[in-house]
Amino acid sequence: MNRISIILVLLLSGIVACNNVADKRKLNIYGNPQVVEKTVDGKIVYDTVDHTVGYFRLFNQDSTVITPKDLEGKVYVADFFFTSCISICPEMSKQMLRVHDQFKDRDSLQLVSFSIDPDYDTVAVLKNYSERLGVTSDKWHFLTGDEDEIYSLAFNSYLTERPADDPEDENNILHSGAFILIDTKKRIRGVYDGTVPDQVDILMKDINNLLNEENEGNS
Amino acid sequence: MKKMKVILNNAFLILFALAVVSCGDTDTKEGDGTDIYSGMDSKTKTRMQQYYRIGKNLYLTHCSNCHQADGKGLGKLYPPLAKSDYLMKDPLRTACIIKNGIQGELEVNGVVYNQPMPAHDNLTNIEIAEIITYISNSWGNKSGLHDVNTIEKAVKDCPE
Repeated sequence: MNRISIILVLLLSGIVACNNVADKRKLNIYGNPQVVEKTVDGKIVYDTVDHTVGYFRLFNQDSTVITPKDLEGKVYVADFFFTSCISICPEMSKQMLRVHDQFKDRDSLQLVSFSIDPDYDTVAVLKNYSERLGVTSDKWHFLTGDEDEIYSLAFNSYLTERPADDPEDENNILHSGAFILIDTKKRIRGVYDGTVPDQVDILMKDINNLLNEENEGNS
Repeated sequence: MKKMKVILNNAFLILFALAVVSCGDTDTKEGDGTDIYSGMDSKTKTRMQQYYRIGKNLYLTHCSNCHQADGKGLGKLYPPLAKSDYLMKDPLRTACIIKNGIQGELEVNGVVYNQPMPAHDNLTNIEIAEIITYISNSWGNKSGLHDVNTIEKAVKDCPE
């Protein structure tokens, strides 16, 4: 009889293991920390500061100006895409939509998709794209604006894209397809391949972990 | 009694193994059981099998990013090919769309789509024939073989 209960426990753990592939893990902080010089009480001290994503001022699909202030107190996932892209973007949008649907009721999570073809991707084009994709909530911002500003964010803030070495076109970008997880302190806490469903599964577990971490930090 | 226990143990082991195995994603089934080769002589069938197999690979390279591997499209952005009235009414019309792309509104199964599709003029007529044969005979679609000669003629008459 004992044996059977051991096997039953094994059987149960086999099922439970399905839901616990990535157990609760502490997320890394990405990017190079900077050492800054500060003066405290007349003394010069050095402090290490984590890499954070910079300021931006862009329009979303509802023609609303969005700055990091609108994302204050939120965890968010960022990516870089463009609506006329037929290579990796449709899959990225499909995967981001999974994240959107999974966290529909969690106000503390936002999604931000920066267009890297803002001249074509006007507010109207982004509005049409988001509606046709099936985005109904205001959880997901599709952003457009100044191209240099967006490229600079991609290269220097979110760190996932880099300039393409293309002599024909200086303003070109190597498009990675990455999803980037940002915490409430604007730090990069995870980078995932937005074209691979398994990676996005991990992202969704990490989002839960990060939301829990932020909650614990606030209490 | 002892033997009974052994059997019971084994049963549990198998169940455990099943529980673990079931963690993995199950592959989506090919087709929906439609016999796409019915009523065909063996020569045509062999030829169509070749078209279909190569067409599938071409589809996964050039088309499935938007139209998806299961042919269901994506939201109201990219129209479905699976059980698509637009495709099945005249599969040759789609050969022109693959070759030259399309802009503007297009109604499929009662939904109006409006996402431009770029031209794929790097594809040869035989490759287009293989893709057309694949998409018009997959996911419940059935329309037989569309060989390279038919596609060549259709593509010549594409609207400007």
